[in-house]
Amino acid sequence: MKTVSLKLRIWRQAGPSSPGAFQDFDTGPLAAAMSFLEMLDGVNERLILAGQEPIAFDHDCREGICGTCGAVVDGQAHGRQAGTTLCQLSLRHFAAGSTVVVEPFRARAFPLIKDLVVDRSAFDAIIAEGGYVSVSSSAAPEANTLPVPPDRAEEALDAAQCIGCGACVAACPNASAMLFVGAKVSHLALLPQGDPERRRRVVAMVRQMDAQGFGPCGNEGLCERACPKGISIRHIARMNRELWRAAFLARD
Amino acid sequence: MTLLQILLGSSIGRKAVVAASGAVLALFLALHLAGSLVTFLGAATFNAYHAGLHSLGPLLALLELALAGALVAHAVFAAWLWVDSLAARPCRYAVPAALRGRLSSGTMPFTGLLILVFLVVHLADFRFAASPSPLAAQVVAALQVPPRAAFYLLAVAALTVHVSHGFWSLFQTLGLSHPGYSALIRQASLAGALGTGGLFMLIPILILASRSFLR
Repeated sequence: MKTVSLKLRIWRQAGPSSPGAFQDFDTGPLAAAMSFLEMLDGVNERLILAGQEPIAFDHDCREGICGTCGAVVDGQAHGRQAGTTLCQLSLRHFAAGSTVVVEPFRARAFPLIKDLVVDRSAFDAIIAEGGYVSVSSSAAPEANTLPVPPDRAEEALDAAQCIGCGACVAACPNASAMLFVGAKVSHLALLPQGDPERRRRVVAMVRQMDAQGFGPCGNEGLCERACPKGISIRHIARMNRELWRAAFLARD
Repeated sequence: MTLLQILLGSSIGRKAVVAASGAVLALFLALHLAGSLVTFLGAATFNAYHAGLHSLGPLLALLELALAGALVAHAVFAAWLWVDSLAARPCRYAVPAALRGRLSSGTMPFTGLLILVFLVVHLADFRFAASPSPLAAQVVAALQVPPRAAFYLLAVAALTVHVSHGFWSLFQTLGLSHPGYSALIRQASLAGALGTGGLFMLIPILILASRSFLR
């Protein structure tokens, strides 16, 4: 069995207003097939047995679909393996004996709670402003009564892959949430179910995005490269277009 | 939300002001390049072009005013966005980012500032210089000084880098993006910026290197 030993430098901070610092750990030999979060579990078990405070980190599904986990590993959100979340990152991607630095996502809109855990409820506030469709909850109509061209369905589904993990914000030099908001606006704008609330949605979501303290977009495209789902920045362009459409067209 | 509220009140609106004013400045840059290329037709033709331009009178003044407006809007709103972006991440990362943008996109505020400084020098040199000699002679007099020429070359290099990102970026911000032509716009931005920058650079280089150019 292939094993890997790593030196970890992990950000520890007891609370939002406490001072933070890096703490070093030696993992000892670990199976290369282990995931990054399983490694942290192991470190935490040792800390608990030693009567110390375990490292706080967010996680839930551990299969890359919930968007709960996330930290900046060696200067990249979710680590340097492209197209994966932190829970899908396995130790085989690390050189044996290397030092791995783990930091929380950094953004004014994502205040730190503890260690590697940040408060991403700013995203929830944006979704609450319009990241939904209002439909009557009676029996669903027969599917083919809603004509959706296949290319539009594909484009909408590409945007709908967003899991709201916040890697785009973490990777953006300006801590902008444009890829996240762009994906949500784009996803719903492309589908007939989203059409009735189209104008109100984009204005409300963009206003909330700004109010939450995210930065402006510089069209650098780093969000797209950091996104575990590879969501394209053309969805940002579509959101911009939606905003102009809302601004120039008559009110609903 | 009215259009004005969106333009002033949202980050996307502020970006659109930068994009639209940037488009105006890019259009001017293309016209200015065409005018500067008249230097290749000799001093007499260049001076005649200069005289013809100034015979436009009030129309020229109006165009200059519009251009100044675009420049002020571009600089003020870009500075506003820059301040906003710095405030959005009060705590930096310990490890430098593994993902790097292109040189052009990450340096927009700095290339922009350098261009602004250059504009002050450039306008003082030719637009507001109270010189009795014809324009061709003024251009030669200013650019045959090596440090001055070097500064012009540096500024044009900054302009090239700035426009190569800016021109593509304005389409994205204004929502004029389509998978069919996005790659083309990106390539055209780079090619156009390199072409424009290269042609502008020829003028100080030729003034230094050739004894006959524009004399």
